[in-house]
Amino acid sequence: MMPAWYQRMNPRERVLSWIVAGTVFVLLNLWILSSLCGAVARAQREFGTRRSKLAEQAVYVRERDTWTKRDEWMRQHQPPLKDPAEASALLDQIREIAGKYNILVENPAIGTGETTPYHQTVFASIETKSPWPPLVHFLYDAQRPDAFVVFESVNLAIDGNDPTMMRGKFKIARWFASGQKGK
Amino acid sequence: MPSIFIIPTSNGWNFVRSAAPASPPAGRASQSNGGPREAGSARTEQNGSWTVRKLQTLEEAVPLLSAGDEFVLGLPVSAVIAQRFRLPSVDPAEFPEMIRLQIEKLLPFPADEVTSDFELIEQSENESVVSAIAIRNEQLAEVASPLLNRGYIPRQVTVYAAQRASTYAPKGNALLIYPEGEMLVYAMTENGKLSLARAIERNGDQLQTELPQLRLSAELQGIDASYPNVLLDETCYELRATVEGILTSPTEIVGIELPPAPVKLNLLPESWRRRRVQLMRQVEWRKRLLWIGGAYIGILVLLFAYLGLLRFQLGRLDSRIAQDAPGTEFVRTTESKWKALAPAIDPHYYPVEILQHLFESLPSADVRITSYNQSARQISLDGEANTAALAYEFIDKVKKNPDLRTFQFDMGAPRILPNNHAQFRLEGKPK
Repeated sequence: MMPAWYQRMNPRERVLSWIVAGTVFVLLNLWILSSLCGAVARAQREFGTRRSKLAEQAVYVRERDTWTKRDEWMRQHQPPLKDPAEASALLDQIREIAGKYNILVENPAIGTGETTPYHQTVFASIETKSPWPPLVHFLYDAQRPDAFVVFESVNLAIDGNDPTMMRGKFKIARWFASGQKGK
Repeated sequence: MPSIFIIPTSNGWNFVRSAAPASPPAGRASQSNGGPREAGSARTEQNGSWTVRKLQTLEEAVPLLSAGDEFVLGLPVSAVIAQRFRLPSVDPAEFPEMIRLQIEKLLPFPADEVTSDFELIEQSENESVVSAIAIRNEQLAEVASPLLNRGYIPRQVTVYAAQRASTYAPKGNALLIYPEGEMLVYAMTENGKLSLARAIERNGDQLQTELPQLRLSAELQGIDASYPNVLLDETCYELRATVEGILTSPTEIVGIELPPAPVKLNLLPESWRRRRVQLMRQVEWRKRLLWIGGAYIGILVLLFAYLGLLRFQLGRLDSRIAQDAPGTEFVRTTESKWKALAPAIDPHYYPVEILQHLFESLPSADVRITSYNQSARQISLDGEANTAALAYEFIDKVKKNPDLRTFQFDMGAPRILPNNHAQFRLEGKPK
């Protein structure tokens, strides 16, 4: 049974009312579908992210022993920064290694570098002149994992005046344990 | 075959509905002298079952019908005019026009106000005998108005007497006596077709007067009524002796038909037919729209369910992540610290190691490294090769060197020097 207001309409008004109602219905349903599909797509993305995160966590849980050992090793071996003379000590150490291999050290300088949550830096910068084999030995002796020595900058080139000699510019840093608490 | 028949009876109408999808052939409910059937009784016939419901008026049939039901409306004899015509033609194409002319002669109103149909009784070389039935449209509309007002249009409108004749006396001549409302119907049939019918009041005296007159009328119309097969409805059992006395013929008691036999006779007006097609189309479209709507709602429900499931699983994953978080937080922090300190503690970042592996990657002595620069996390080196191909071979080897996998190396296009040597620059960044 049609309502009275519909009965009062003429055919043209009825057609128009159907068109308007149909358009509203279609738009409303498009909006519902679009929202629903959007929500499903978002949920699928989030689900994928969470699964990756969970898989990552599973790996972390599996490797927890390894990382515990590494953390312990870092705590034991990363030296603390005791006094500002550490940079000078580093330079002396480098000079000693260079001297061991008869490497000429020029323009030495020391300083303190950046501080991060993981390390505080002191550095020594030098320029060297030597043949290639002693330089390799110097590089080898200067770094080892428990020394926390980093070559922050290395420039190596053949000496323009003497092709048998190498010119090197180094900024060598030691990374001490940071006073800041790590993230 | 339709699954619903609405037929006139002594106390109104019978609503006969098939309860099984497969409809059985016309059957005789009873040949014995059993009593009247109970309202709402159902009986099973052969391979199907039929439910019979007694109705006082056609109005009561409305709630029993649904849109799309295909039903046959059997009219009472009192509503129609049944006439037997002898036509001087054997061409069935000419029958409708001839019958229209004959009916126009019989009826006091225009032929376009009447719906008629016919059935061929017999045919010889030169002539045909037909049974013509006519009903005034106005009367038909009045009879069927309870149904029409609710939009229920029968698939076929026929005469119940013709249905009974087709069921009980498909061959030869017969006289059917059965009640329709307050009246008693006398129907003469030939080969299952209705040739003459009268409805009179239901009492023995009337029977004594009318029955011989009917027999006489039949014989005047050329119907052989001398030894008719007399079929008396079971509800008129008390008239059996009277009828046998008048006709001097044995009578046979018959019940209602389950279902009534199909007949060709159709008095459905053309306008009703069109309206019915229109209504059926509307019903079809309504069904389709319902299916589409149902499917759409189903999809929406599935999407909502899927979204709910995803949200539920997300919640579970979140709780598991939160549960594992304290344990993994330490590992994350340590990993970050380890990565931050890598240039100090990981030999893969040591210049001597990197230079060693770069030199291992040189394809031949024709490729030379001329300068090497490294910051804590970035490498660049310049070199010269005798050919550009050697420079490319070098970068290829560097990229494939497993000990240099900490870095990702890239090389721009080598610069070709005047002596055809290729000057190249390699840059490496931690992965």
